[in-house]
Amino acid sequence: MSNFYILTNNPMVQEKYPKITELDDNFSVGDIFAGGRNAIHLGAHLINHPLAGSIKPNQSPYKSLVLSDDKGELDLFSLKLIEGAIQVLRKFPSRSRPYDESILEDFQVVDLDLLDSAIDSLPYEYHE
Amino acid sequence: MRLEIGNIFIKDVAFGEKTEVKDGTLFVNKDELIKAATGDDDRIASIDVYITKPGDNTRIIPVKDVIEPRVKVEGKGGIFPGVVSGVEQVGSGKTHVLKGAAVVTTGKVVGFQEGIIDMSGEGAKYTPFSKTNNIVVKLEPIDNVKQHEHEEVIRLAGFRASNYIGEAAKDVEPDETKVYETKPLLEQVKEHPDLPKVVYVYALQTQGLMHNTFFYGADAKKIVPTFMYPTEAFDGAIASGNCVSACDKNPSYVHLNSPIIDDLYEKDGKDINFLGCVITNENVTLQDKKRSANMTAKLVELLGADAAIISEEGFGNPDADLVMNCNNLEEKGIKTVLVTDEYAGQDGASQSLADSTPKGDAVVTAGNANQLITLPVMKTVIGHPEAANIIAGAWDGSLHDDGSIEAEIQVITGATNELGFHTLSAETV
Repeated sequence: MSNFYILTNNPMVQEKYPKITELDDNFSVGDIFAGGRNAIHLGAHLINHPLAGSIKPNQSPYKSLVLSDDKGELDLFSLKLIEGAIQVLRKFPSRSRPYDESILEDFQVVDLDLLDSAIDSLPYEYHE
Repeated sequence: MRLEIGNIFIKDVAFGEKTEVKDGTLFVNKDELIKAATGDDDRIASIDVYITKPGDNTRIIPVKDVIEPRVKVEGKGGIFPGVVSGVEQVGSGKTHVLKGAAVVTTGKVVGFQEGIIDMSGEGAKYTPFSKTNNIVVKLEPIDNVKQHEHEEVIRLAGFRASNYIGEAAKDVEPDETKVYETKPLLEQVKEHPDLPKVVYVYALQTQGLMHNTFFYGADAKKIVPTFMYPTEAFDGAIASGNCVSACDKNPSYVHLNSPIIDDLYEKDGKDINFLGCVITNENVTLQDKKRSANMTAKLVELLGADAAIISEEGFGNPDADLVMNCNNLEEKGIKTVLVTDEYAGQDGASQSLADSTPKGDAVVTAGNANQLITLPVMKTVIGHPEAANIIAGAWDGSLHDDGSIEAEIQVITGATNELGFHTLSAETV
């Protein structure tokens, strides 16, 4: 069993990694960041950077975080990064707009690829 | 390693019977160019080529990459080794450059892609590629080519097109020759023993699809930091596959013309002893970031540097690499200067980066990507004009009824380039 999981609102991630994904497709990017921050406060380590990709968090509606299963001591480095990401999201004006299906698919593909790039580089068991 | 760069100044570009340079005009045989750009790639449905010049009432959108035509005249290898040339060691001998010409690739890889080059008007002031004579390669793939392949197809076609045009420079006498040389480390150290030794830490965008960079064809997310003679970059050792975040991505043209490397050579022997470059990556996992930052610091220390210039490429995630590299080097007693751009909000009042460190006390900014601009209507649009409404830095309603675009300068290719290859500057008031 791997010792990490994915928190996402991207259905394509759920399809590819069904066993390790927690999907809530009603979540906004802000909700995913908040969920990640809550897990970090309970001891999870953040494994991928929350601002992966140059697509701004107020532009893509999708976000995937990889978190360790750790419980207990707070990892301050993870906390600093997730808080930084939340600050970035807050400072950008809302750019929500109706995207058509093909553009939503493109956003999902890029989010999934950035996640693949993280999963590919991880050992079967994550050590911090 | 010693490289002579022979610049051939191109003042005009036109289609012609033969691809050649005559009295400062580059003539391009369109059919041959399309054939060369297509190569053997059967994933390409069509390629069209356009010429646009400084001052034209023309917009190119969405821009994927910009490439400068070059050719090896003496020395090993070809331009973009490991990508469209054999994987020989480059960076020595002689290279000819069609200075003033550029290949611009356009094509919609994904629906939200950005990247605007306006050849005149307000927007033209914000991109260095409004000053080049541009040969625009517009590529459409066959049906059902997925996003990964689509990106690769356009990327490679652009390099093939540029290398084809570059061949026209082979037998032309350069208007200007510049010589760059870096000696093997122990000799280089002895060159200027009393000057501070400086290494350039050159971070490459390596996060995944549309965010990739290649070093001799190797996907740079899979490398550990390594030493590069600075002249290798001038022969295309670094090739861009990054087509997101138009303002602060480094097009291949910019890697070929890195102003940081150029400036460090300029200061070499006068103010500093420029030892060379350490290339590193900007991956998505914190584990990869730590490994690369640790290896970078180890290498820079091993090289004996007193100081390092660190540049980044991109927004958000790479800020973490920038800060980690800064902290690691400063902790080893190596002074750092950081080069970045800012996302400081439209009023410029917000925190600029997603990460920071008190040790980052010498920082050069390339500008605020959130600054607002209104781009006028253009008579001619090459590419996909509908992209304007859905690109980064624009919003629903950005594209006005009259065809003008209100957006942040991040939509413009090269507006806040983090290697400093751009037009913004600061003045003391």
